[in-house]
Amino acid sequence: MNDKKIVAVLCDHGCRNGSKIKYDELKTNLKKSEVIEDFLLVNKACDSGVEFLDAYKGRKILFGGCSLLEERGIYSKIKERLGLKNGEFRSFDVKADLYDLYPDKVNLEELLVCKILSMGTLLYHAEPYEEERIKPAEGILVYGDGITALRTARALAEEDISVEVLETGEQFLSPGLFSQHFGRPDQRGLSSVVSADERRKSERNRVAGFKNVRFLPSDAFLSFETVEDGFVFTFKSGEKRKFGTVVIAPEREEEQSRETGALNLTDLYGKIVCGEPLKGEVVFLLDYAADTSPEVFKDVLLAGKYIKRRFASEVRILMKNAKVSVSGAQELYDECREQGIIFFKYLEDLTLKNNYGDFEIEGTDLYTGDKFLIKEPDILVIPGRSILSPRSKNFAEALELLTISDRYPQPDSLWRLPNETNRPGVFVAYPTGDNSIASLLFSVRARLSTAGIAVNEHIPVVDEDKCVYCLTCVRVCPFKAMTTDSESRVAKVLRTVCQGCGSCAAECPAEAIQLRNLTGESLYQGIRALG
Amino acid sequence: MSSNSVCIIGAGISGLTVANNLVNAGIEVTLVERNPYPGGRALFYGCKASDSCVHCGVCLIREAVMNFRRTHNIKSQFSSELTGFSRSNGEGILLEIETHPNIIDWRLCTECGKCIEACPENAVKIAPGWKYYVDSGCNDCGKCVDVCPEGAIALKRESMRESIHADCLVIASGFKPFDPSVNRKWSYGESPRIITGSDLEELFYTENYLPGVVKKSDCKRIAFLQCVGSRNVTEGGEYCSRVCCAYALQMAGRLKDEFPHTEIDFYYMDIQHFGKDFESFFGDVSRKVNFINSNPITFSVDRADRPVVRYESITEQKDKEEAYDLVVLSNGIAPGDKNEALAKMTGLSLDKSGFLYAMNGMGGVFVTGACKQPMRIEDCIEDATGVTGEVLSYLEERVQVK
Repeated sequence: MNDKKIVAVLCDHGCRNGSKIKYDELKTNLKKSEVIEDFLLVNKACDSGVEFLDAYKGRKILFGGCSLLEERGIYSKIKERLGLKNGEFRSFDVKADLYDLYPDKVNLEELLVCKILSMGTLLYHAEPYEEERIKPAEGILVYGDGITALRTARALAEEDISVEVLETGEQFLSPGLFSQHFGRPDQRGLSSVVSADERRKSERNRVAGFKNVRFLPSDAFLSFETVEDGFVFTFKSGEKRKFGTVVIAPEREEEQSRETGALNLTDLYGKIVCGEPLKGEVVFLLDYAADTSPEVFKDVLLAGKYIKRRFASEVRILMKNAKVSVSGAQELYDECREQGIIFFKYLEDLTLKNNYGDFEIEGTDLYTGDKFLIKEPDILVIPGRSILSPRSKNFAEALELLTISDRYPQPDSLWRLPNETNRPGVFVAYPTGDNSIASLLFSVRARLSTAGIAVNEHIPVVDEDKCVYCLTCVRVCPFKAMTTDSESRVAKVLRTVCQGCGSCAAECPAEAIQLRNLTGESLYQGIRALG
Repeated sequence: MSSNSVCIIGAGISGLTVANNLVNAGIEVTLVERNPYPGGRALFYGCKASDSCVHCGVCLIREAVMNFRRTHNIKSQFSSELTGFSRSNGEGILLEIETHPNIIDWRLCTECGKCIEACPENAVKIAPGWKYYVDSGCNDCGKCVDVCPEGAIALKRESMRESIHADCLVIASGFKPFDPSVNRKWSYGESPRIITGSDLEELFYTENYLPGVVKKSDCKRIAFLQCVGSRNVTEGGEYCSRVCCAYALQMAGRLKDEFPHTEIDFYYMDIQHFGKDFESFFGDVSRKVNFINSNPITFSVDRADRPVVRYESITEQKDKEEAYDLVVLSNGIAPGDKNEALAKMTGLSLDKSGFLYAMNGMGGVFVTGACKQPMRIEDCIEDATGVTGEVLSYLEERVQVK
């Protein structure tokens, strides 16, 4: 334990309060504590220099002031001038933490004493430490077979980053892709129908042309473990490879239609690509099994428009809502209506009778309130939900990513970009916005190019004698930062991954884990100091 | 002069994201903002969380502003506008910027609050997470000047014109909320009980939730009207604004939690999907809100000064009239005022709705955020991050060419 005592400084935001604080009372109260050596009340530290602290060289400083001090860089000046290391200086925002939170009624002096004593005790028990930065290992693994994976790999290769692509060997006609295959809505020509496989192959050839891209054989991955600077993958050939960063571009597929004889969009695309005639009455039934997403709605419009033009068929689209929030969808919707595609909005009471592939759809039109009956359409298309392919799902689960049921590899979070995951160093390439691959690239570059990943101040320290190897910490860690050392049979911390949340320390039944600079003892002392 | 400098127009969420990312990469950044504070339109929007977070993203803007305050090396010019643009012979871009400084110098302001107390016109305002500024309504009485202990206030400040050199220009000038008063149909402005979604956002920010004329105790019925200024060429834009279903449903859910005895009707054309959790969110909110698939025909005001909505009921096959205590017009996103001028100046083109057409990287001009298409806050952040990457690659290529 080091015995440097604390000097508490308070810039009491006198500019607002007109220094109502009773300085003497505060000082006598604080001086009773064993950890506070001196207490200074200053005014407008944001304007004056920091020289007044020169007399306290060699002590730890606890500084309370308003956000202006940070804005004008006063705290870093103090640290520099007194040569304070990390763990020897702390600050708090009096305005946001005290004055704004508590209205005038409460006793300000009492609050300040509590704040200063609790923070001061923690600071007193803190050990100075050097900031550590660890660089992630080189090498990027891109997982996926589809066009998103390949485009990500190409974009990385163009930036002179070496990439290895692990293919899944699954080849789907993924529904999202097809929206591009019919050409742009304003293009008249129909020659732009290209099979997904052809597009994928040409993109793959382009990617293979780069020297810094290597394709790993599909199905090659056996197991992996997380290490401090990345992920070690073991392949079936026995080869072990370390990657600092993993990008997963999940392959998606469309759920099969539950009605025998009805097509889903993928089946329909298959028929279009094979050149099968789609004549007669073609009915699309949307929002039936599940809500249709805007992307799928646009795909349906494109397919409907194509069928109408190419085969002069009668196209009907039945839906609850027109999902037009994707760019260009509204124009396309209007265009489809002009071209004679018939749209129905139906009410809840829709029924679908299936007599071995002969369908009968009965429902109520939302606008007129009339009943309608569609008998034995030639083709019935019910788009399914788009879900993760089995292997992508397995891979995401193996990496312990969070998933929303079986649909997305990562739930919405305000605190992460859509391409970031709950595991630092693992990214998801997901073609949502126009700029999603660009923003993924930026995240990957930021991980590679910075001076390294900073180690959190409050990383856990495991007492190897107390650890009973029960793996509770491994289970509870939300960031998967705890692993085990099977040789010495103790828990180990991955310092780059840990965010210092303290879940492991709280849950450890053997009390073998303490957080750096936030030990149980110092917390206890901090509470005791309040009396 | 450093070879890498970037100028960003607009300090909304997109501009701040780009600025923060570029500064972290060691690029010199100048931020030009029309308002006297950063944060843009959405700074005055309020949190819509009911019993759980609904991912409206408003807190991210406060966070970005706080972050910006802590960053020392962004050059920022508030109350400024871009007035001139020229290319200087392969040496980047020359920009002319005009500044009309605010009465309060934010660099000197310590947020003591004395000017707010002294102002007889209530013209001194506070921007959340930021400092004080003087809004319209100031009558130059000079009382704030006398009380300011920092000397941060001066009534007359001279406008300045400045030319700066930049390698790249990033336009993140944002959007304008659609103004329903252009069409008499919406009766906006005729009754204080008819407000827009953006007005309600600001009421959420002040945590009043309802305008002053509507008493909290006897607010029985509220109506939300969707697609105001969206998806209709004669009344606004042809496009779907993408944000209104999200914010209206989120606010309706919050209002129902705040005033459980209130009935909320939701007039809509089509409910749009948003976010990955849409289905579970929609399941929750559909228990709180009555959905009516209809576009109201006319408005009137009854004897008790309550707005009356006349609409065609599909279930009952006749026109119906309903009176409400409050009608919220969910106004969409319209292209910004300055889009045309910006496009003319920089040589960009506009799409047919009036948004800037992004040809990122052409001659060092980049476009990001809601000035290019309607976007939610999260989408803006993602888009801005992507554009930062593109700016960095562009700058790297330039250095290599040299």
